[in-house]
Amino acid sequence: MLSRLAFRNVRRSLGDYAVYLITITLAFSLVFSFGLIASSQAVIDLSSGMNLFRTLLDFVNAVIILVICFLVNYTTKFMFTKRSREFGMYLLLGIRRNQIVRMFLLEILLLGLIALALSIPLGFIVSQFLSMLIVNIFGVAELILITFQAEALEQLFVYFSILYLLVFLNMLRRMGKMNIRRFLDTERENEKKMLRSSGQRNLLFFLSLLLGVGAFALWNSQFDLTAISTGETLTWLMVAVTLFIISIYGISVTGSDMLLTFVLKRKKVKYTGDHLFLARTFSSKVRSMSITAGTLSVLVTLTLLALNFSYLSQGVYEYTLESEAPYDVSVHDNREVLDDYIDIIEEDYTIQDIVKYDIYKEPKMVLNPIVALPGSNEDFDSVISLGSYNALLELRGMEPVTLKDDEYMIVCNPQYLELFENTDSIKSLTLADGNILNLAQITDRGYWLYMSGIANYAAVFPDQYTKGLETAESNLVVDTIEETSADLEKKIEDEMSWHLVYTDEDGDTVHEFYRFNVRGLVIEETNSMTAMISSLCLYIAFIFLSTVGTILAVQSLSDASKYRYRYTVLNRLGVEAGSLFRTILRQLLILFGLPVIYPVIIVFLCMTSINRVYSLALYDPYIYLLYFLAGLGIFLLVYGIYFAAAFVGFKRNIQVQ
Amino acid sequence: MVEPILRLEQVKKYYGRNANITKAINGISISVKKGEFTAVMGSSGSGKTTLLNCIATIDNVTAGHIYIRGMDITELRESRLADFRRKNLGFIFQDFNLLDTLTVGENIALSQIIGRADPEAIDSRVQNIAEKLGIKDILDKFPYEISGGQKQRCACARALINEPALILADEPTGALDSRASRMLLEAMSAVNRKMNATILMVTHDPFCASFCGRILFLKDGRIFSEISRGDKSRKELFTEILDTLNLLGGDLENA
Repeated sequence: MLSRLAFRNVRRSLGDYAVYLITITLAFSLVFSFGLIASSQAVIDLSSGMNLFRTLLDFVNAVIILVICFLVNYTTKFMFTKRSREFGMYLLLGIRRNQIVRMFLLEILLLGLIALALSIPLGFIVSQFLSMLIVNIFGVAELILITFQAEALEQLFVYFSILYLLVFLNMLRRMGKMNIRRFLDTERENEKKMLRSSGQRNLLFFLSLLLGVGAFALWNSQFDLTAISTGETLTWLMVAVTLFIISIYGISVTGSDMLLTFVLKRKKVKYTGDHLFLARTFSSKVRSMSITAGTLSVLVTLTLLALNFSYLSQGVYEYTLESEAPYDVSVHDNREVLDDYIDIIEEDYTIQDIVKYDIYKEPKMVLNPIVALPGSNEDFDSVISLGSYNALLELRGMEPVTLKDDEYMIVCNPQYLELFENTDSIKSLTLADGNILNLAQITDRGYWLYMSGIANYAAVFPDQYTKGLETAESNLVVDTIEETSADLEKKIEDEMSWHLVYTDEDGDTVHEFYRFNVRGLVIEETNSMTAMISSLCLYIAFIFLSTVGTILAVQSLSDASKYRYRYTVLNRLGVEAGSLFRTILRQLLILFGLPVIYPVIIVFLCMTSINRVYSLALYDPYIYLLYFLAGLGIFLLVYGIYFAAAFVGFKRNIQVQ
Repeated sequence: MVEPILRLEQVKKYYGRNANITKAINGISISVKKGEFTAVMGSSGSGKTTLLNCIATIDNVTAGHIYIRGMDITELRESRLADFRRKNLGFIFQDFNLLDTLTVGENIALSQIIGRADPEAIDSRVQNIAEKLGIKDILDKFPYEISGGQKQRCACARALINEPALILADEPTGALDSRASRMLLEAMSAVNRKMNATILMVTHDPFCASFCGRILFLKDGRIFSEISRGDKSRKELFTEILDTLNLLGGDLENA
């Protein structure tokens, strides 16, 4: 009978907790589909980086399971509170407590199993879409069909078991402590109010705000080019994150309450429109769900950060590719062997363009000391002729530059831009032969990592000034019609090994494979890195966001049925359905809006800090603003779906004429 | 001498601490014999619901003893209470408390099914009680499909199914109109007479109390007065109840 009762209760719950059921189904299906992808041999074979993906995924899954656990636990607690009076009735009818506990846990498990069962086919379908995405990223010609992997299914079952075990243990602890009186009264209890006096509340609010400012100052101080590489950076960042979390909880516990007091103390605000009703409806909720609100805000913060990082990694992708391999093949080696490279490339590819250029030595050496790494033994400035530089630019579809006869320019790694700009002594450069060149501009446009094998910069001289200079190294850039693949790297390594591999005087084997660079390999490596970070960030963002959305939607829908009479009374007092719905809309906007405000501010500030370092790797230093807005847009879109579901459900539940 | 079904010995129930003590029940001793239909009346805050909750094992007493069928329920452990309630107590509440996922018949049978009674016997018992309470035609309906009066008679049948030693009713007519109230009370009286059921009912309604054989009046946590029907007609009893209430004073409407 009890199991029949449990089945019927689950059927009844399906309507009330549809949003919750959909969310955990989607969450389980994502866990499953990522598991399928990670265990698919075809995907692993795509890139060596995919092994790292599995390790990262395990870590991410652990965090995600904890968050799903929070959601299931919260909803279970919520269902329990709502039905505790019913359980009290069971006790009165003579049903033993352990029978009631068993029935309730069976109901929770049944809901979970429904989600699990639905998530398996759904996850399988999602994995095919993910595979299409991966195929697209890696530019694989054939579609990879993800096969059904028992390993992924086992993993899902393990996660499911751990999750429900934790939830059950918590529920057993909670129900074990209750007597019949508590069962009958729990429905009417709120979470305990944390702060007794408004003085304590104000103090906590300002302390939390101060903590937030302190956390930001600490965070910001770490994103400085001089500080970022020191060993303590990570420790300080962790401290800042902890402070942020405490601050978010503090603000969540106190902020809404302060706002309410503000509204209720000002008659003009209080008696305008539906403010009084909204404030009073909200006050009991806000004052009693403070800790939950804090957790929701932390999850919103992490969601927004994950979305921003997803975009950032995509933005850096282009930069990485352009800074590491803008040309299909680039080589720096002796001039005599350059043609050998060309021959090897020509065997498999159609060559569209070739640029051979030299890097010269300017013996006066004014620029080198500014940026030279400790231990560097180059005793000259690296120089490229204007003609060669323009040829390289044109090959990338960039506008050539012009220099007057007495001018020179510097092209360098973005990291050194500031160093050169701050050195006045290079504004006018006296060369070894006595000629004087004036600095026309310093740029990082057109520079790439393999422009020169010996320096992170090159001085661009008008052609006539390079004529008498000694050649430091010869370079080759090859543009092919077809996109190169990672195989070309291997082929060059093999076929040029007679030249690139030798034994030095100490008897050690030296590999000089750094002398060439193939775009195909860089694309593959960068692709897998970007795909990994980007997809894991989106995965985290979706789970966290849907957890927040579900908790708020379930709360709203439950409120709607619990406090239906409030709206009926308003309706009978003459408030029309239209304006009542507007009030509900505002009420939900506040409920959904408040946990988002502080996180948006924090994430914006944090991303601005991070951008101080990342802007070096992005084409536009302000593109992070676009990423921020795009991330916020996606967040609001998904959040909006939960909001809309809550609003529609609320309207239906109160059934006002 | 026959052991009474219910016996209270100097029962006290206090709330709060130190200076803020509320004496909800302050030394009540009563006994109820088998087959008695007793009403407990009193003004708001007189302690009648607390008294019922203590007898129902919902609340623990601060001092004193409560014996049901000779067993001291104040000494019973939580683990034995469930069985004790199922075998000895039946409950009727103001707001019915029927399970909306079960049909009327299933609601009535629930505690029998949990007690693992013979399925055939359960069915005939349900039919039998439903007939006595006039709800035989609605056994397959769900609670949301029937009227308030029918719901309360269903709750009454549920309370009776185990033939408990004592039926506790807390304002059973509180949510019913006068016609449904009368029907319920007549049904309860019939059950009391025909099945010799012992009923203890808390009510603030003199009309409701006039169906009982004995009425206890509570004031400030103590028994203030007691009247018995004896040979009086229901109308005479009703008048006597009103007189006692006048004597008692207080705001009965809010009780």
